[in-house]
Amino acid sequence: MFYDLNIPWTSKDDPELARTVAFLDELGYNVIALNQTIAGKIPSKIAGIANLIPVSPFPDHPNIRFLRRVTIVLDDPSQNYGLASLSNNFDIVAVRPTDEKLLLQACTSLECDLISLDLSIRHPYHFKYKVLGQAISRGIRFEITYSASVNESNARRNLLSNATALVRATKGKGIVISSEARKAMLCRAPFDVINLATLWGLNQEKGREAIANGPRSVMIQAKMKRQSFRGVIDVVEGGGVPKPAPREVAKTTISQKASGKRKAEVGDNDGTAVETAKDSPHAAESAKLEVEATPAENNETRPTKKQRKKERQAAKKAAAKA
Amino acid sequence: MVRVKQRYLLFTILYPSGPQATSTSATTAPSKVTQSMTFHSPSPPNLNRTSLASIIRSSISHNFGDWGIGQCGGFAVKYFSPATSTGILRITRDNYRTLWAALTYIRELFGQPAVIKVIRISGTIRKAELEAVKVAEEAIRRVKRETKGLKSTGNLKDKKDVAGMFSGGKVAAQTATVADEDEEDDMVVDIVDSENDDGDEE
Repeated sequence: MFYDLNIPWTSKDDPELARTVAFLDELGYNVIALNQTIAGKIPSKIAGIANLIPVSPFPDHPNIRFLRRVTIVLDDPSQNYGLASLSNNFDIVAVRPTDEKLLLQACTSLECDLISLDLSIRHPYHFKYKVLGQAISRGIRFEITYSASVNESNARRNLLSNATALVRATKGKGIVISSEARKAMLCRAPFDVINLATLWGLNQEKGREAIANGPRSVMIQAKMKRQSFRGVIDVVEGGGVPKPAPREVAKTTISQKASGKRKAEVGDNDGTAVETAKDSPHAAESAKLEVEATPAENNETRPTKKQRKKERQAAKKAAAKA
Repeated sequence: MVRVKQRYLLFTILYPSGPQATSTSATTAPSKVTQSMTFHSPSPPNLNRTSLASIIRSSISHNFGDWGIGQCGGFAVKYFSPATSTGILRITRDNYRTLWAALTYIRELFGQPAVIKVIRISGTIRKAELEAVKVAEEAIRRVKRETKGLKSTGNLKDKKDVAGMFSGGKVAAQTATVADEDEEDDMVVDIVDSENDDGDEE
């Protein structure tokens, strides 16, 4: 699973965005976060910021999961950004601090999931582990965006120096790499990105983590913050009496007592889903399970039958001898 | 005497702007079937092993300077097929990441936006070749699958487009299946040739 957590959202009809998404699909990404950036003066009722991104923007790509992300550009330390209320509308809330003070604030107190620094410009301060470490211990990750460095030579220089500094200051932990590509040609394949990360001082494993597991934990953590009770406990399924399942599903659950994995899969399909959509993959899966299940039953019964046959033969022989 | 360790990079060139510059057929918005093969168009005709090598060399020198050229200027393009936009590079083991980064930073080839994707790093050219064949076969299977899906809707014009796109426009007039098989044979032969080259040089 590879993640690209930053694709700037323009509009649903933008051909370049559709092309970028198709190209990312081709390159092998599985999860794409569409990003909406909010800059400048923020209205007092921040919860009123509407989510412009539809829930499933590109139905042509069934293999890709789309997330909706917002990035707030921080430029005034005195302003109160009610970030917690934003997380109801968006899957990921990111901040982009513009100076050192705001970076400190973002690392220590702000309720965000991701800190996205603009690494294609020169920063007049150094990254310190004392500051960044606080964010890492709170589970907030830092984002490095690479597409500007593909596009332009000057940005490439700045990104190399900034990313190296960031990797040094964070000791390679809590880094997330994403593209921020406005054009399809600025995207790169996941393993090419990992190779670029080795230029910044991450090794192969940490580079992979920055594009696979790191973004995943950002996504899950944001989801937990939004849905769960105090970010600790989340009720995945309501429990209770299961709905009367169709016969084939019931069969599999009984015969598949032994293997826990299959049981879980069967548990995942809601009874209704199987009932309504016969041609859906779930139904196919359960049918497959049924096919698999029948030989398993035979295996259980066959030895006893054989034994019985043998016993019968032995008894016959004994009777004949007698 | 210690043997010189090499790495072989199998790469493919993707054209994110689509095939409009190379073929005349698919200039309009990509239909659903061509969606997956949109980015796999054949390379421009003037892109061959030597011109590709000079482009890569200039990218190394732009990104890594004289040091980079000194370190990994000794790479060789062992194989390149413009029809499938696939190729194999050879480089000493210590410097393959530098060369790879230089490939990643290439933005365009002959004015056309291009992205070079490294598919596999291998210690022997044999494994790189096998992977190339595997990838080509998978691509053919994918096109066949999609054209089959299209046949049911009866849209045959696009099918020809796909065949033309995949085989460098040589056999665009033929049906998709024939074109695909031609392509596969071509590829295998090319690879065998390049192996012979390898033997001659060393």
